[in-house]
Amino acid sequence: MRKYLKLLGIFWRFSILRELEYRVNFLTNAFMSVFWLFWGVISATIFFAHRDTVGGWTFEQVLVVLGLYTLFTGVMEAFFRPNITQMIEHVRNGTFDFVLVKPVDSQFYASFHSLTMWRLVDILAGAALIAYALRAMGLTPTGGQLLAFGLLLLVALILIYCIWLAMMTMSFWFVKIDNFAELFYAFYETGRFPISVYSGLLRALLTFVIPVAFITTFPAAALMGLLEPTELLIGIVLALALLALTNRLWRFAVRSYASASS
Amino acid sequence: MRKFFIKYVVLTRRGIAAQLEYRMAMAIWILSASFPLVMLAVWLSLAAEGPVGSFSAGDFVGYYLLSFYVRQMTAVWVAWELDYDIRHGDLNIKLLHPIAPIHEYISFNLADKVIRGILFTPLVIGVAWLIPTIQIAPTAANLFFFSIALAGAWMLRYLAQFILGLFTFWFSQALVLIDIFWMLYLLLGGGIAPLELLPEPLKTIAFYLPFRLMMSFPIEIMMGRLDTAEILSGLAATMVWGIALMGAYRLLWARGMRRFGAFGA
Repeated sequence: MRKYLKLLGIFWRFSILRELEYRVNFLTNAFMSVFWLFWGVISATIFFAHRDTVGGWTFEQVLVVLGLYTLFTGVMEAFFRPNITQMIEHVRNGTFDFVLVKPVDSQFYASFHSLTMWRLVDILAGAALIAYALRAMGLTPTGGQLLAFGLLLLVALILIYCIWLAMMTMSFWFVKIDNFAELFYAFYETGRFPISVYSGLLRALLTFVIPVAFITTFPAAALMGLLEPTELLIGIVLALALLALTNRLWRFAVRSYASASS
Repeated sequence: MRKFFIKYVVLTRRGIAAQLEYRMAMAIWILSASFPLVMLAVWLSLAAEGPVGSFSAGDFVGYYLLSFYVRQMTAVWVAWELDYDIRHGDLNIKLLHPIAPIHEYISFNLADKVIRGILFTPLVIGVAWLIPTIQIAPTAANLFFFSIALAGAWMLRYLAQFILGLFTFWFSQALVLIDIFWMLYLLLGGGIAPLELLPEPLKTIAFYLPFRLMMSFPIEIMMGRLDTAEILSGLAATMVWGIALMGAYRLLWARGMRRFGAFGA
């Protein structure tokens, strides 16, 4: 475990050093992240110009959801996107063999060895929006609510990781498709609004199959004391189940991986 | 003129062949364009309590189905191509060809439009036919003006993105401009909400900017919300913007070429 934490430190330090060479790039992108956040808030006001609530949520409550949406966009783009890109390159060029012969767990190495630092700005911007919305509502979460929120953030992180790991695993079989990750964003886009906006089948799909609800809606609900305890429980079970499942999928894929030339 | 036309046809056919090579990647780009559907779902949840402004649930379905179609049929990515070609020097190869590079880029985009047209026209008609509550007005006149407005929307989007892409000649972060353009396009072109539902002053601003002509205008025609005078003035505005953008393209291209020559690439 300690070895892996140390490795993580080395990987990320190296990624950051490499990016610091392009400072203008960092600044413009940081600026754009903040811009997109404002854009999201303005878009939300359009809906609230016609109704007091959307899906039963007030404007400030929706801002918390939007904050989480931005935060997790940052997580995905900073931690997972660079790795899936490299994974696809590795499989395509046959250099994935070099990953396999390294004396570390291949899933760990493939999942975490790059980081896009400037995307961390999204995480900060999202957190700032959440803090702002809570203040605007005059809400101070209790210890219990914070605990539930923390647990659900962890659940959301695990779920996101599992989804990206599954997509990475797919690249073993679909070598030609380099924009696989975009497909997840089609569903993630729904996370800008609370899950109660969507009806019927779509809501079930977004809760249990592609669990976007557990990434933005439920953590937001936890923070504002709107969460049903069963939802927390379902989230934890779902996260653990997916973690086990995607790990098995990865192992299966690595075993059947035949390198580039063979 | 005839020769020019033949070149175009050949280039477009080459484009279709090239794009069919990447059909899986293309399918994913298309499938991931879920934004109009998400917006539709949110508006439908609001319309469940009664109409929003002048939009009932059926209007929203019509609006976003058309919005999906218009966005698919006007999809442009030339700024990324330009960015790549300018930085990697691939533009040199295109400059050697006996036709101006912009036509080569356009023909590639037209090839994509042929494919998307074959794919989505029947799909959209089918969906509209299957949903009886949908509110659209597909009269012969509206269909006629819709097609012209759609072509105009594509032209404006294409020229605008091409121009922004040309800024790569001067700074490496030019794609940021595309991001800003995209934000304005979604907000003021009618991507998030039909322009009628925007709060003031956004609504008035949106009416005077070209973003409306790139998405909302053809949709408004097909929904039967415009009278003939409004349609004609919209088409005239499209033409004026088109001419202005073409002028800007010529100017920037000529300057960009001097600059491109200057870095000796």
